[in-house]
Amino acid sequence: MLTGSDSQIFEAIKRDDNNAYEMVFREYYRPMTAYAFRFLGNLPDSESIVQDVFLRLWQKRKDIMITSSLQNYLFRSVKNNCINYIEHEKIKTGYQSLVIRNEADRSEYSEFFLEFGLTMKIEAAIASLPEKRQEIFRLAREDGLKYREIADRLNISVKTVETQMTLALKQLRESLKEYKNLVMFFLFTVKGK
Amino acid sequence: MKPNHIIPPEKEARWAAFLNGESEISDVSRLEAEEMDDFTAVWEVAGTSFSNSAANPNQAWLNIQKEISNPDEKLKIRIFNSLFFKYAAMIVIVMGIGFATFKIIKSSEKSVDTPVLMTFANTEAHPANFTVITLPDGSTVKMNASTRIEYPEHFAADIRKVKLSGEAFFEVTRDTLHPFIIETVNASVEVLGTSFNVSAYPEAGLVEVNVKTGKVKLTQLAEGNSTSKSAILPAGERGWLDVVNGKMGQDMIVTPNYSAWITKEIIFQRTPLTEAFSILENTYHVKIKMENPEIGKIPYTANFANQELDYITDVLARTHQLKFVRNGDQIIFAKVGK
Repeated sequence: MLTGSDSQIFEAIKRDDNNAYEMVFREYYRPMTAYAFRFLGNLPDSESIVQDVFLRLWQKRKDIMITSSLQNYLFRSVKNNCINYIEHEKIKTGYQSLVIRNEADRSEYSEFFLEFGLTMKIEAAIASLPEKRQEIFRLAREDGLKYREIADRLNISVKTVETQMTLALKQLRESLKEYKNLVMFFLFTVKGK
Repeated sequence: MKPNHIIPPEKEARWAAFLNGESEISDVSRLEAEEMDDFTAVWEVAGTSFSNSAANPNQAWLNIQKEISNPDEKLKIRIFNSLFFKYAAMIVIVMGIGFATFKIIKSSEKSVDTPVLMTFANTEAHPANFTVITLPDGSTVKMNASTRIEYPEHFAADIRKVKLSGEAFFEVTRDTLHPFIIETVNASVEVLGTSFNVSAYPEAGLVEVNVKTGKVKLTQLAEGNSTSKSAILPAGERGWLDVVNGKMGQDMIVTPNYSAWITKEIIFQRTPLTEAFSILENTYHVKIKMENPEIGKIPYTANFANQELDYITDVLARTHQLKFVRNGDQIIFAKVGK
C-alpha cells in the first residue's frame, strides 16, 4: 500500500505527474471497487463510481486539500458517492441501510486489499459448492439478482432459491472457517457504540 | 464467533434473504446482526473477493484517460448514472507501437559507468531442483532451467542492477533509496522491495512478470528517442510484453502456476491442454508433444500439489482417454484409437 509516501505522491499529482497518478490508480482501483461493491452489490455501478472518483482526483487536483491520507480521501469519496447514489435511486434495501450505518465509523481499509492468495481460496470455496447451488449463489451475489429473477431464469421456485442460498451460506461458513480472523473485519459488532 | 446452534433455520433463511435485499427485517437490532455475524461475514467476503478480482482496471484506465483528454459534460452525468457502462462490450483499440526487434538503450541516466566486476550464475536445461543464489544486498533469486543471471560483486552506489535471461523468482530486500533493476534483452523490471517472478526466455518472444508482494514497474526498452512504455504492477497482478508486436498488457493473477516450477503447485481451470502442457514443461523441464494436435483444445480441470510428473500425466491421460509415451525428457501424447 502507498500509505508511507502518500503525501509525496499527492504532491506529485498536484504537479501534474501522470505517472504518480497512474501509480495511485493501479494500487487502489481494485480495493476501491470492492469497497463500492459493499454498498451497491453490483459491479458495473461500483466501477463507474470508482472511475468518477479517480477522474475527480485528477480534474480537481489543484484544489483538493487532504487532511488525513490520500487513501482515506479516496475511500471516503467512494463511500460518499455510493451513499448519494443509493439515496438517488428509489430502492434502498434494509441491508444497505445497515451497511451505511456501520460504515460511518470505518477508518481502516486494509482488508479491501485482499491478498490474491486469499481471493483464490475464497473462489475455490465457492467453486466447490454443488453446481446448482453455486450457480444460484453467484447469480445473487455476483450478478445482484433477486430471488424472483433467479427463480424465473432457472425455472425453479423462489422457495428453492431461498433454501439453496441458505445452504450455500452455511457451506461457505464451514469452508471459510480458517479465515475467521480476517472475516471478523466485515462484522457489525461495533465496539463502544 | 458466537455459537450458532441456537439459531433456528427459519431465522437463517430470513437473514440470507435480508442480505440479498429480498426482504426487510424492520429495524435490525445490533443483537440480531451479531447473531448472524458469520452469514454476513461470508456474504461480504465473497463480495469483496469477487469485485476485487472481476474489476477491470485496464478498461477503467482507458475510460479515464479518454475522459481527461476529451472532457464531455454529458459523459460525466452518464457515468454517475452508470448508463455508460451498461453499453454492450466496447472494442478497445490499444495504441501499440509495433517493433520487430528492440535494442537495449545504453544505460539510463541513473546508472554508473565505471567498470564493475560481474559474476554470473548459469543453470542447466534439466536441473533436478532449482538453484538459489544470494545477491550482494541479501536479495535471493531462485533460478529455473536454462537461466543466466549476471550481477556485480558489489552493487553500484545509486542502483542495484542485474541482467537476466531465462526465468527467476526474485525476493528483493526493501531499500527505497536504491531501486533494484533487472534487465532482460527487451525489457527492464524495476522494484523497491518485493517478491515476483520474471520469465524472459529469449526464444519465448515474451517477457512476463508475476508480482507476489510489493510493486514492480515493467518497462519496454525502446529504440533511441521513442518513448518507452511501462506498466505498474501491484501485488497479485501479472504484466507482459510481447516482444514480437510490442504490445504490453497486465491482468490479475488467477492461478499460482507461474511459480509452479518452485512450489510444484498447479491449478488447471478448464485450461486448454496446449497451455497445460506448457506449464508442465516449464515446471518439470520436459518437452511435451501432441501426436493429434486437436488434443490441445481439450479443457482440463485439476489441482496438483507437489506431485511427480508421472502421476500427473497418468491422471491427465485417464481423464481424457489419452495415451502417452515417455522417453527421458520427451513425452508424446496421443488419442486412444477407437
